[in-house]
Amino acid sequence: MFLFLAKRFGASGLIVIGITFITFLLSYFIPADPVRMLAGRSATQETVESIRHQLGLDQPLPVQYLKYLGRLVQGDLGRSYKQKTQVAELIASRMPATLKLLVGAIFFEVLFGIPAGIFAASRRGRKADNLAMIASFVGVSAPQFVVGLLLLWVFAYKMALYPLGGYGGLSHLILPAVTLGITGGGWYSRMMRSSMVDVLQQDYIRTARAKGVRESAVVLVHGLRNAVLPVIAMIGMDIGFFMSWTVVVESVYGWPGIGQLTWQSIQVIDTPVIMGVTLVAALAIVIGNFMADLIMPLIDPRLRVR
Amino acid sequence: MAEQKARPDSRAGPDNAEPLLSLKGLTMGFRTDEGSFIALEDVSYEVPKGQTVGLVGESGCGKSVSVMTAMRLLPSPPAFIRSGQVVFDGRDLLKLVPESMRHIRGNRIGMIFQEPMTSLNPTFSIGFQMREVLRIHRSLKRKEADELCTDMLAKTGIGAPAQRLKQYPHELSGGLRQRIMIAMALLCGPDLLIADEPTTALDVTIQAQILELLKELQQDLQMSILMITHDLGVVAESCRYVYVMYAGCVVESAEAERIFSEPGHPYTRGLINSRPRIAEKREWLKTIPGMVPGPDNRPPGCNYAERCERCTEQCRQEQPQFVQYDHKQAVACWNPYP
Ligand SMILES: Nc1ncnc2c1ncn2[C@@H]1O[C@H](COP(=O)(O)OP(=O)(O)OP(=O)(O)O)[C@@H](O)[C@H]1O
Ligand SMILES: [Mg+2]
Repeated sequence: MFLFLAKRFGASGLIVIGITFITFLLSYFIPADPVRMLAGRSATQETVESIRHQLGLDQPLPVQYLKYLGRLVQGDLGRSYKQKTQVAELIASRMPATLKLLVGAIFFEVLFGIPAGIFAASRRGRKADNLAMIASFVGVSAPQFVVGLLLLWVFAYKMALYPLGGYGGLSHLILPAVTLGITGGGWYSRMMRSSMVDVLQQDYIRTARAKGVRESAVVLVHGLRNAVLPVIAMIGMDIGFFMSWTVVVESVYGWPGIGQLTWQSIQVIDTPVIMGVTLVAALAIVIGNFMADLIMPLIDPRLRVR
Repeated sequence: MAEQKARPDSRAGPDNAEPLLSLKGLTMGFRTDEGSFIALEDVSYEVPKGQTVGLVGESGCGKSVSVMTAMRLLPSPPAFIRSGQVVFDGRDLLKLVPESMRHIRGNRIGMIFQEPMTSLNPTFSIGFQMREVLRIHRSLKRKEADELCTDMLAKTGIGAPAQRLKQYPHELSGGLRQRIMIAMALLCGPDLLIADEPTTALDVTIQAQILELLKELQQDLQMSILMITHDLGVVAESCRYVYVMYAGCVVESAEAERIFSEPGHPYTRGLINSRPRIAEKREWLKTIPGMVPGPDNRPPGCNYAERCERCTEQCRQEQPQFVQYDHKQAVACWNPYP
């Protein structure tokens, strides 16, 4: 078990280093000269050169990369061109909102997706299955802003059950989280269904039935424990995904998360912020997968060895 | 399907003993995307109390499907039942509500399957899977249940049974897994054990051990066994009475000794001749030429006609009646061996 953890951890570490390299290169592919961004249009050649020197951008790439790594280790993600604050601070200030939305969104995805998938699989080929799959298709293909605006209109405006957007406690969180739950839950129900359909054809399911196990327990105990693994992996992926790609929902509801920060900094080509956000999102994906890797062996004993 | 047959009436059965399980004229099939087909046609057989009955036939002839139907383990759709009864202890299983059926499965009828490697749930410990049977059918304390499980594991010849309960299927060999399946099937002391090719997937020495084990357990526990196999050696070893199936029909039934000494149906004879015998020199087995007609292209006459050495025009046109020789044997053939 310890060896397993150590290996996983080592692998994750390597991936993180790879990611830092990519984010570093990112700054060269972004079609904007950071020096010009800082110095402004009318700066003289001299000023430009001196800023370039100040930023260390006149040094060879490997040196720059090592310096970048050195700064990262100290938690220094650079300074935003536009907002003149530390990128790390900017991201940290958005983190609570993003984490709240992330937890809420995954909660509703799982809440909508998993039961629907199980239900559909256990009634495979019948009407209930078709209905559930149509619902999931609608969820998957509906644009987030449509779902978001619709929920906002019905539950916040017409029925006045929830606030009309903005950041705050649970009542503010529910609508944006449900929006992500609906649009993402469709993927979960599909994944859950196909995994469960596969499992329900296995020999051990027949054995369970032949033992006299209640049909509900056949599905929810014997089936689910085997079928849930790909869904856990999917949750792991989503942790990374929601760290940076909730911009549409954030805009609809005025939710001050990292998604909006990303979008704003892309619009003004604020390279340090883009690099920082990319790094954080990638880290989140690694952490999400790592967590899934830790949980899966608890469910499937065959994964405990190796 | 060309004409009505009177097979159930002329069925020879294991004599005098009261049947515990009897299939009566079971006709069923599957609906698939390409259309529906009949997999079992008018199948009747019975298992008397306290005896071992064999069900033999080539791969695909419907042996497994017949018991799965009886246990109602086939999802419907695609499976459908056209006619027939499955009488167990005086009740037609096909008519029971699911809840009553559940009390029979694993409790009064135990079942072991062809595929020991995949028949246990890989994510639950052996202990969980065994205790589950007792939790469903008996109300026992955890400790009592554990004791019963270890006892039963010991009975099936498994060493260190208490430790096994903590293990997972992937940690065990095929032979061990099949023993565990047997132990699990026998936990509630069933009246009937359905053993669907329990040894096919195992290597030869393990096969012999498992068969020996089943024999002992049967005597211990006074149960009936329906032994499904395509291996006549298994029949010779363990069965009193045998039903031979071919392409979805029962074609011959006889006492085990009779089957070997005077097989009536040419197919049965073919099966016996294609058995490998160790005493003979390594002359390769005489196999039956031709192929089993698929469920979707059965001929109007006898299903075996195309492959049969005694085939006549009548065989091609008309389905043979089941003819009773005496209470020990019945054959569905126009020209049986005398
Ligand atoms: N779920 C199913 N859907 C469609 N056809 C099926 C299904 N299960 C079995 N069949 C068909 O029913 C026929 C009988 O199969 P069955 O499994 O009973 O054979 P068997 O006698 O047990 O053979 P084996 O010795 O290989 O186990 C086969 O033609 C098979 O293709
Ligand atoms: Mg079979």
